[in-house]
Amino acid sequence: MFKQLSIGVLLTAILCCPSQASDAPLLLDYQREFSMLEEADNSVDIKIFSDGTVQVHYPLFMRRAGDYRYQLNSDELDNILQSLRQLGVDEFNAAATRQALAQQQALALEAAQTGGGSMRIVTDPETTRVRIATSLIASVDVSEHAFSFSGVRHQAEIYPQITALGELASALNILDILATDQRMQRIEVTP
Amino acid sequence: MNTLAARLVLFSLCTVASQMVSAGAYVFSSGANPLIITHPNSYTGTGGEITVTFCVNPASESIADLDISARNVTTVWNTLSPAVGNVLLGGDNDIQPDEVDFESTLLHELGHCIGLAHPNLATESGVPAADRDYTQSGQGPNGSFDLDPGIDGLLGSSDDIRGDDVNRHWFRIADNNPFTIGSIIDLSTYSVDLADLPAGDNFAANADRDVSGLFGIPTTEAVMQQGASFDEDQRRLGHDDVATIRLGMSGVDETQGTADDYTINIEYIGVANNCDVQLNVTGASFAFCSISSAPVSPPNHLRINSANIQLGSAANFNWFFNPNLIVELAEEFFEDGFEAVDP
Repeated sequence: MFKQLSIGVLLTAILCCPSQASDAPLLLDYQREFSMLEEADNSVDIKIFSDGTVQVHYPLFMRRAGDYRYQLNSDELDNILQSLRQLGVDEFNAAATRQALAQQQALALEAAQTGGGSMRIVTDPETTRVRIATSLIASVDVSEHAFSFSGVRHQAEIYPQITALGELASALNILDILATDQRMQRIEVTP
Repeated sequence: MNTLAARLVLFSLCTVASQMVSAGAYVFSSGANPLIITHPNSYTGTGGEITVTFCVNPASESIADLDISARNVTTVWNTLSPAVGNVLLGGDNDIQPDEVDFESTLLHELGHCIGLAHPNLATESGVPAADRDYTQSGQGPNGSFDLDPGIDGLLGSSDDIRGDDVNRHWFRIADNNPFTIGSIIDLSTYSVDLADLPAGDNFAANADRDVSGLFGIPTTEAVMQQGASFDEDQRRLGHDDVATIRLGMSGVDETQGTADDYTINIEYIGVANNCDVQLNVTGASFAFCSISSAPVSPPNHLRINSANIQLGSAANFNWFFNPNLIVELAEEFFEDGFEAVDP
């Protein structure tokens, strides 16, 4: 799929100014925020660029603290983008999903209060932030799609009937693997 | 008309439930149900001592490293001794600048596992990080949070202007001061109803560290407040933590001194399965407690039915494991003279 992308689309899909990791357009920025810590540096940040460059930031309190970079080949990038498309990341509707979640939670609480069921919650949810150049990986005609959501993985497990959450959780698992690739080389990034 | 009514019901369901997860002063409370009080596992409405067993999962990592902290947090929650000046940063602790204190994190999560929620608008609210120190609430009829810090500019203080937000934080009726505590803690002295606030106060104040400065005391924060720093030791409970647990201990009649009152004995078993609270150190998530509910007395009294704490693997996070076992907790707490307990 990567090879099928037109140069014209590539040129119009720039999310922002060229990064220090790559001069290529940024395709996706995914942040996994460990929200219990209120420090500014509290997130694992994964950026994927259109040339296959992956840049990863680990915050100070993690074993891997620092910035890393490596290169995906075109097939790898193609597979990742295709998977993300299939899981609907580029069209994830955070507002609608929150509404669906709220309805399910209200029903669960009502059942819990009346003794007709049990409610389950998970405290201190992580916050997921995604910024994505949809014109590069999706059919929708917008240049950027951004959203945040709290507790994606746990809510997807508790409420499997909300398929959008389950798909997003699967997508996050794909992205998380990118941050443990053995090809990662530490780099120095100036603020 | 029917369609309109249905939409209103749907709107109500959505707006009141949207901040439900791990919310309010008690887990399972919500903007629509701010009166819910969640009790620890084992409480069924009958008074007396309830025992909550606490174990480390045999499959957990860092079992040897965490043992002292597990014992210490058990002691701290059993003792219920409130302290001021419980936030120790930098040179005031033995934690390195790039480390996070395992014990402080575990103390917070164990609080969730016995029924407490965040006093502040934490992650589950969905508000930006800069607004998370406002007091815990539901969004109210307008479907959004109304966030104005008031004249003092401090988030979470008593002069916050919160529009139609529904307060979920139990406050002390006498003074709306989360850094004090009285001898009677029940429905006669604590409330979630803003009509019970002292004259001049706009909203329930929460025990945020910046708010503690307004009261002229050393930096103090409720352990249950979400939002810690690296290199931070917060291993002692605040008054708000103790008051919230003790309010629950007044039982389903919410009156202290009656037959349904209970005390809590958390019993640390060590490495075992099938405890009321299981601790597992593993994985790439930072920290959480997964909780399920059971009814005690409908509609406002629930209890924890199962609780599983997970703290991230030491292969992923720079945990600091406290090597010092607490021996004389009460003396240690009050040696600085900051008892701050009102008669």
